[in-house]
Amino acid sequence: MIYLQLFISFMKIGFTSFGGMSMIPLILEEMQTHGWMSSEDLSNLVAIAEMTPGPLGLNCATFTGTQTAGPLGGLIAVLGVLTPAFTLTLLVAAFFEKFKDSAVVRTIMGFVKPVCIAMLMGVLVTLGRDTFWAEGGGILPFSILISALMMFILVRFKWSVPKVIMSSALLGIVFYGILPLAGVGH
Amino acid sequence: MHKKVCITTYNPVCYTKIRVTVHNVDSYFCIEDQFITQMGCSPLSYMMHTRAERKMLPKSSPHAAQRLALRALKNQSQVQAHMKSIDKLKKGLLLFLFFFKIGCFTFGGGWAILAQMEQEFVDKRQWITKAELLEMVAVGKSVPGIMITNISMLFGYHVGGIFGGICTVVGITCPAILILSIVTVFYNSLKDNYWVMAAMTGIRAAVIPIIASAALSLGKDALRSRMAVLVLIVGFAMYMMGVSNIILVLMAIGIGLVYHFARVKV
Repeated sequence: MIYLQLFISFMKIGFTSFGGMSMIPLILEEMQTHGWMSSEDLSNLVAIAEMTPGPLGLNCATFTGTQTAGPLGGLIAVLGVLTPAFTLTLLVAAFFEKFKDSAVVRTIMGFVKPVCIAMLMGVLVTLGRDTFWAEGGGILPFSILISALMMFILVRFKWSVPKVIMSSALLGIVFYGILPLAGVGH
Repeated sequence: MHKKVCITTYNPVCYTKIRVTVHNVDSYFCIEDQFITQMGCSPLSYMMHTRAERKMLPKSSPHAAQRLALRALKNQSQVQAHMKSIDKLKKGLLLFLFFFKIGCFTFGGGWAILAQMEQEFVDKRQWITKAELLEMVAVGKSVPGIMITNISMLFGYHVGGIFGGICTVVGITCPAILILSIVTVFYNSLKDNYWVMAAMTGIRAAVIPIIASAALSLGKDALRSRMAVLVLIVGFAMYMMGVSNIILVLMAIGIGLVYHFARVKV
């Protein structure tokens, strides 16, 4: 029953992710253990979720769910990922005053955040392997070039993410669309 | 507005004063209006009539004023209860629509959405203060799940109870489902196109710096202590050895708990 599997997967993702990008490693792992998606699809997913309006996590969940099991799958993935909001957060909202300055929570977050960064670094390794190495072997120099350039722009000029994605799409069209047709490279 | 007010009015039949507790001054005028429609004059001017004149006025049973007053009060509270439920629905609808709009048009994830929330609910409507919103952000970040849905849940609950919370979360979720369903259809039909593939290859190269810069900005905030750096290194090593993400996060929570209570004891 794919819907149930989707729901449980995304419920797990929901309960163990803490905001924004920290969801990506969890999605990658769930997708690969179930064989629902390749890491290439995941990179595309991040780009699409960043390009569409609304929160990243919701966009990721909908896209993954819809990709794996149609529109109903998307709905179910979103319900799964929203389970913590409808249970834990509701509970927290009811006892907001007590939770607000809780030292336990602060200590726990002190451990969870570095782990989130570690997981993101792990995802970078996985994605980097699949992005910079061609399937038949050999590196893709243009991809490395685009990555380095965009990293520089992001850190130095603080471009917005959709802008970065649009310009790297243009670079991609030039490097991987026009140049091979013109017989340059490869 | 809900301050109780005691008002003295007059029982038209036996000339004695009666005290009526009303929830606000408006409801006293409501009583007075009813008195006037039934007795033909205001309570005060009724007092001025002579006995003979009073007989000309429409007859009214003893304690009519009290009953009138009570009925007016009862009406008032019913009206208030009714208004409350309408308010609740209206508020829920407003929350839903606002968060639906945010879901449709706000690019750039959580922080852009927060800026909009601040503009609308702190500056314009003044439903919450900025300090309260910041508290919600801090709490929403430390509850598992999507940060912004957590924050909107906390906000919705604060403003309109459970109903309000559900309205906000559903409001922000609907656009994502609608838009992404459409995008997925396009994605599937376009992804084998030569030019789209080329663009996608470029985009995939950009995703790495995007994630890396997210990790960097997270790191600026989270890696302030030596302990945190140690956790990062150990966590990364364990990830590389193939430990599942979920286990990693659960371990971090467990160690955090143990660490906290051990420190409290010492």
